[in-house]
Amino acid sequence: MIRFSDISGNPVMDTSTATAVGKVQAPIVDPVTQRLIGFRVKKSKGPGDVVLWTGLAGLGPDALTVDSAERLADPPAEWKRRAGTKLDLIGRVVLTEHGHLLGKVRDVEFDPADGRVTSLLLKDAFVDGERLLGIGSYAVVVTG
Amino acid sequence: MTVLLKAADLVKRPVVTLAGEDVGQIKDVVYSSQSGELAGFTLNGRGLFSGPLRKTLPWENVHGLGPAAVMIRDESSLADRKALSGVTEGAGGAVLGSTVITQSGRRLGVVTDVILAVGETMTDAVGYEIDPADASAPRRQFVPLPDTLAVSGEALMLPDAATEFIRDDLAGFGAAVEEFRNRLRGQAVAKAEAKGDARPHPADQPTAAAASSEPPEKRSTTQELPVDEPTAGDQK
Repeated sequence: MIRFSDISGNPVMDTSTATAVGKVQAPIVDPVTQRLIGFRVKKSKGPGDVVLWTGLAGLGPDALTVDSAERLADPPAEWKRRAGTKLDLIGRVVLTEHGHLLGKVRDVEFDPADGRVTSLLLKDAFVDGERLLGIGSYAVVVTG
Repeated sequence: MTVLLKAADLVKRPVVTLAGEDVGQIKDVVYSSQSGELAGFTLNGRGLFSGPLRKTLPWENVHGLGPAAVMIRDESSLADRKALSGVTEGAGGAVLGSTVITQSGRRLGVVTDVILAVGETMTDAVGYEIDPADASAPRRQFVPLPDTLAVSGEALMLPDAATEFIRDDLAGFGAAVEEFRNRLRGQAVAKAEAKGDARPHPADQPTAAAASSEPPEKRSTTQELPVDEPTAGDQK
């Protein structure tokens, strides 16, 4: 398991040219499948600023790698809103489905093999990734 | 589990879908005029300049009601305005501000708020916060309600027995309501400990269980406002 904070800000390297083409900015999480679907990238040298999970060549402790800067593209239409800053997971408040406030998301832990979100890290609590119900503009909603 | 809370505390609480979007906030609480039960909420929009929404939230569509938000499944849980009109009265209308009088003709005070018992699946108006008519009394008191009560006009009639169960704070009020209702049903709760002792007593449990119409979560009423609850992962 790795935490997003471990790779936040790491360079995105283009393996064909061995140059940095951007920096990891934010995770993009699909609450339905409870998986990471990609990362938003800042200072992108590609046509867009989202790299999808399927477009990654490698995910190491010090860099993300892609086989071409073209992988940094605009997200597909169905993920357009999900990839935007308005639905960012980090920093969003967490509510249970019964309306209790748990805190704010500090960090996300995920499985580097398949992108499965294993837990959300709050200030003094963990929330199992499987409890994720929704990520909206107001709050992250979890079961329980 | 059941918690007691004041209806006024719900006002301005955001209404959030399970997808995490806030679709409105509580504008007012609406009660059924027949039973005094909570019928639903009228809504305001979110944001600085948004006015009243044309939608209402019927109580049966509420997924969860917590200290931080009122949760609904999705936007289809909202009904249009007609769903709550006709059979109901707004909190600002018939209930708040009316005078509470016992059947023998003693004026207890003026209603300032409604106390709701909120369980996982159902909610009920269990009492009123009143501004007592007696000047020597504390600034606010809580009187229990019978199971059903006609919320009509400027005055609310309560049985004389209600005066015995007036409490000065919400702690212990849940148990007082329970005993009061049991007594009204003619249950043999006229035991000595019914007086004064507001805590649920182990000896009371069989009696409460015998009252078959009593919803099960009523018996385990915790006497605290939900804001005092521990937060992380307590809803299992």
